[in-house]
Amino acid sequence: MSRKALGHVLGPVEVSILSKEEARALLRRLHIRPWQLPWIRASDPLVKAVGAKPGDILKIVRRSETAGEGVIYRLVVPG
Amino acid sequence: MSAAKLLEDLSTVLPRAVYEELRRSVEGLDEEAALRTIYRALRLYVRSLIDSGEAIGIVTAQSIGEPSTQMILRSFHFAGLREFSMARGLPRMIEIVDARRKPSTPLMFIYLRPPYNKSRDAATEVAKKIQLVTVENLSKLIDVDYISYAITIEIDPEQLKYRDLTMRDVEKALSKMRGKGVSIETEGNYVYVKLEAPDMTKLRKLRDKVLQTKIGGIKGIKKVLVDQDRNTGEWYIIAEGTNLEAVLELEEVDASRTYSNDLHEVAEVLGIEAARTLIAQEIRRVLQDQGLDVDIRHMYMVADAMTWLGKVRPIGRHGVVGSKESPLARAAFEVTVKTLVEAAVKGEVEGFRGVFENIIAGRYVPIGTGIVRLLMQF
Repeated sequence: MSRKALGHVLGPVEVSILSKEEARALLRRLHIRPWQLPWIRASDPLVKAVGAKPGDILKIVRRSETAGEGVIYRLVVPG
Repeated sequence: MSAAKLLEDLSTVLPRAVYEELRRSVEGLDEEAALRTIYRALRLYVRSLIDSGEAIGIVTAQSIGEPSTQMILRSFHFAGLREFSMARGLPRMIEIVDARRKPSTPLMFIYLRPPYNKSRDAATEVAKKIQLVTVENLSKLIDVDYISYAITIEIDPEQLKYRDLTMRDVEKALSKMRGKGVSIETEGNYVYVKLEAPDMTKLRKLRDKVLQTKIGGIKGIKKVLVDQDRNTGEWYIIAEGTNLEAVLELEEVDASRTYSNDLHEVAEVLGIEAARTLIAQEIRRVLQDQGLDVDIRHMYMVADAMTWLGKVRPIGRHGVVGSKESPLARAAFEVTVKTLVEAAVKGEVEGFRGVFENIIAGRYVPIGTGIVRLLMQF
C-alpha cells in the first residue's frame, strides 16, 4: 500500500532516514530545534514506506522545476 | 584550482539544475575559459539568492493575488469533452487554498499501463471496469407498490450485456440485504423485493438502498471518459468521482502517474509531499488556464505553507492563519472581537515576535533589516 507513494510522479525522488549524528549535525547547522522543521505524520505513506517512527528526521529529495531537485527535511510526528 | 576540481566541489553546493547546466556549458572549453565561466556563473548565482529577511510571504501573496483579480468568474467546460465540466478559475483557486474536503468537481486522471493505453477500445474496456454500476443503472422499470410493500425491478438485459454482467451478479449483490424482514427474489429479468413490516419510511429507504447497490465497478466513480493525449497519443481515462486507493490497485492502471484532484485524498494515499506538489500544480493550472503567468516559486511557497505541519491545512482562520501565536495578528485577520475576547479570557500573552503584531503596535517589524537585533559590547 505504501509502495505507491515512492514511485509516483507527484511524490519525491528519494526518501531516507537520517542517523542520529546526521540529524544532530543538521539541526546544529540550521540553528533550530527538531520541531521547527516541517512535519510529516507517522501515518503518511512515505513514512510507512521507509519504516520511520516519530522522532526520526527524514531527508526528502523532491523534484523542483527551479532547482531540478530540492532537499527538504521533515520531522516524523505521531498521528 | 583546476576547473574540474572546482566543479566537483560545487556539485554539492549548487542546486542540481544549476550544476548540471554549468557542467554542460563548460564541457569542451579550455582551462582558462572554463574557469572564467564558472566564476561568472557563481557570481550570478550568489547574486540571485534571496536576501535574509526578505518578506517572501507578502511577495508571494501579492504575486498570486494580483493576477487573481484578473480572473473571470466562471467555470469552463472541458474543451471538446462536453460530457462533464471541471471547476476552473477563481472558484477552483478558492477550493484549493481553503483546502476543501471534497472538490466541487472531483476528478481522477487515470493513466494506463501498456497495452491498455494504446487504443481507444482497450482503454474503454478498463473504463467500463472502473465505472460504478448500480441496480438503478441496470433497471428498465422500477415499480414501488405502497399497498403490498413490494418493489419490482425489471432489469434491462441489454444493459447487462453492455456491462458484462449477469442476473447472478445482481442477485449476489442484493443477497446481502436479505433477512431483517426483507425478502429478495429474482425471476428471469425481474427482481422482487418485499418488506414484511408495513412501514412506509422503511420502504422508501429500502428502495433507495436497493437502487444504489453496487453491482460492479469501483465505488465513487460515476462517469468515465476515455481521451487521447494530444502530444503523446496515449489513451487515458478521466473519471468523475474519486477513489484513488481502489483505482491504484488495478493492474491495468499505471499507479505512478494516476492522480485525483482531491487534495486530502492524495495526501492520504500518496503522502503529504505528493499533496504539496499537487497544490502547486493545481494553482498553476488555474492561473495558466486564465492566461496568467506566475512564477512557480510562489505556488511552491503556498503549497509549503499549507503542508508544513504534515497535513493539508487551509490558509485562513481554520488553518495557517488561525494557528498563529499572536492574538493581535489573529484578531487583525477575521473575527476580531471574538478573537480578542477569547484571548483575554484565556490569559494569552502577546509576544510581539511576528510581523503583524509589530506593525499594529508601531514597533520595528521583523522583516529585512528588522530581523537583526543589535547587541552592544562595551
